[in-house]
Amino acid sequence: MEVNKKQVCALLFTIIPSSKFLVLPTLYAAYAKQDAWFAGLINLIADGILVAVIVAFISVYEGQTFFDVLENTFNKKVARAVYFVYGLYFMFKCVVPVFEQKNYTEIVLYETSPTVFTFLPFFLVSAYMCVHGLRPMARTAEIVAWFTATGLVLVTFLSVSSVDFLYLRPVLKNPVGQTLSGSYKAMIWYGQPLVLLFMAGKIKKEKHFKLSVGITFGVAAAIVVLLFAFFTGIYGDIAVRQLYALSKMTKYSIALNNVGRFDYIATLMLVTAGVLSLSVPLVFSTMCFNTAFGKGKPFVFAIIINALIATVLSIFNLYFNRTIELFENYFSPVMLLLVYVFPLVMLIIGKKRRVEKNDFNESKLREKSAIMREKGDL
Amino acid sequence: MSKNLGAIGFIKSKLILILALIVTVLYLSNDFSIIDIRQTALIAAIGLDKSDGMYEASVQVAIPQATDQTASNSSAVLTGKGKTVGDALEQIGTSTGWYIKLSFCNLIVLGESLFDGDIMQPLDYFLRTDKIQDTARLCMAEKSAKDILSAKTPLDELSAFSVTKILEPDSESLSSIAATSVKEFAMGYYSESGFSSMPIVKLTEAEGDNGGGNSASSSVDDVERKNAEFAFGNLRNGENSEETTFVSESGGGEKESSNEKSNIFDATSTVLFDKGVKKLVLEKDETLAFNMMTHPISEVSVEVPNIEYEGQNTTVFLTVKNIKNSIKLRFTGANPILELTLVTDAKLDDADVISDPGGLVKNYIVPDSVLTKLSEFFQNKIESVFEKARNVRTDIFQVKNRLYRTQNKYYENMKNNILKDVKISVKVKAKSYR
Repeated sequence: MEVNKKQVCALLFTIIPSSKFLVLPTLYAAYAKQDAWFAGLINLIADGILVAVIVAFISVYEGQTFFDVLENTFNKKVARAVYFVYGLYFMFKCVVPVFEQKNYTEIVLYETSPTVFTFLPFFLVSAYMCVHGLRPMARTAEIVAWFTATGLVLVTFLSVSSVDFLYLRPVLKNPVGQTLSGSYKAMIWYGQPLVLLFMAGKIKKEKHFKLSVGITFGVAAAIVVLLFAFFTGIYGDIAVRQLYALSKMTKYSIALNNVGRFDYIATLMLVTAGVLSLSVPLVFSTMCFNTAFGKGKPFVFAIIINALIATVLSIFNLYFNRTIELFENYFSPVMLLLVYVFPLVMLIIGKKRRVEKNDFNESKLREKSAIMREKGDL
Repeated sequence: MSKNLGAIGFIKSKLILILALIVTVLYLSNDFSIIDIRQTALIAAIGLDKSDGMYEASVQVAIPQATDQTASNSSAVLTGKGKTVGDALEQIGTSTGWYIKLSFCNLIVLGESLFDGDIMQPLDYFLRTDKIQDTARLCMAEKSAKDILSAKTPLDELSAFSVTKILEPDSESLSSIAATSVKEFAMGYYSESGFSSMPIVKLTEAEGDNGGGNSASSSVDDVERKNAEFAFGNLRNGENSEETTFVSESGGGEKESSNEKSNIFDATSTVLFDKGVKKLVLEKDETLAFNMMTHPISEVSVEVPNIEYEGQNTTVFLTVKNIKNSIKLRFTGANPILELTLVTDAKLDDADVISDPGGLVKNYIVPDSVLTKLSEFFQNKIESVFEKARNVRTDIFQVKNRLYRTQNKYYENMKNNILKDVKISVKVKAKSYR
């Protein structure tokens, strides 16, 4: 087994809040206004259900990888095709977060617009992660999770004093359709727990796995919702004009007046954690392509995938808003199907098969007993 | 098969090295867009005025100098003109060759000439741009913003530092200045109430100062100033060409004599806006009452006249602490009532009488008569401020915003008349500080 429970939890805790405090709060503000936190909650509930489905999947198909399950359910060709599709999904999944992180880094760390090359070293780190796969990524997550936790705690404490809770009212009065539209458009920033599905069969069997994963997700999700609410409370009606909330929410704290912008420590910790989070979809993309085309060539896929994303980033460098718009409109339905529907379908098939298998075993047993009874053995 | 593996092996061993080299070369061969500090003008404050339909942006530049020189840090005021605020600021950079770094700018002074229409029109630039922090303090100049930035101060090198000190959040919590930032102003502007405010900065001559307090800033005499002021002329051809002027305030510490007067600033008056349009000016006591109800003040000094104390009618000077304010909108039936509550502790610091040395406790505890007067003083001021604002349709205590946020079910029916219909109930309780 490649990873243990602690590493799974650390990875989950790192990737859940990642990329959610740059453009996303602004998008929620545009659609859901004072109910932005609720729009976020809807997305996180969907992710919570996804976590529950995947954990149940791991339990039902104990010891089997997702590929094994597909192969047993359909055949090897279908399994490879599905992995190829997910390989593409993970590759596209990282585009918006990478764009965001690049723009954020440039705006926070640079006075003018630096060249696109400034961000390219990220792809070296990412390519390294992709080549080496799950284990180094999980071990890195154990360290990086502390950065995430410290960063989030600092951001929470530094921003709470600036929140005017009046701006969170009236609660749930925004038109439901608009709030749901916000959640739908925001989907491209969610669905990270899907990676657990591709870790199935590679996680060491340990006690309280379900509980630990559930608590980790719950804590991370609670912090995310809380910070969405803080963002609305800090900016009120102008929240819709505030991009890159992460480094903005904390700067109104009176604690910074005399000490200086030590909140950047929190920001940089979360940006550091972001490097791992951005690499995760690329690692799984490599893993999926590698499995789809036959094992043994992660290096080649790692290079191709990272080079491709770096090229896309370089070409569409100045089309950040258009890229987000494109993904919101066309990637969200794909995500809905691949992230939330397909794993559920596989779980239902698995459960049904298990019931059938149990029924089959029971009827076999009954037949055997009847034969033995006839023979007078019983 | 083995041939394929060999090729992959070659790629693995060589290509990663080549890629790493390419990326490293690309990475190190750019300038990281870092700007030379010697070409960077650190802007301490921006002043905006309007003339002939053009924005005139004045920036106060802090120029760092070597510490081994006798001269203090010098300053300069640069001015650019443009059809938009961004354009005017851009002009300064393009005409001087200096890179205008706005991220350290903590003060935006708006000249009186901007207040004819919606003030959000020029302020919108500061909400859009990432170059300047939205925590920058905002104030209105009594006359020209450039005058404020060009003023000499007795204690600080730059007038911007003096004004910022008056308006910064630390001082705000201890004083009666209704300070605001770009963000706070915009939040009020875009709220349901459309109410926002900012302090008015008035320039007054520092008494007993002949300008020698600040060697760096007072060292330029009138002749030198005239020589230092020069226009870069029209930078663009055409009717609305922009221009940039430069006013040097440096000159080294050697020149001691100057007849130029130092100035101090008064920001106790507050201008109120309804949807960005200037409506009303609150004077010192009114600002204090408004500020106490709407800002998180921890301590303030109040002078209350006509108080019976120690058997005499006198003026007393009190320190008011532990200020707890609350504003609530509630309904009795269909009638809206705005409840304003203020609870404070007061300490008597001074009175214009010879007091009886009756012991520590007697002198320390504020008599009930004084507390009653203090409560009445605040109550009257709060009521008067609200009524004055209501008369000019300015929602000073954000009644409409509260209606939307806390009494949403009444909002649609009452949003147009709430300010007119609301009744006000002010409760002030002043206790003796013990």
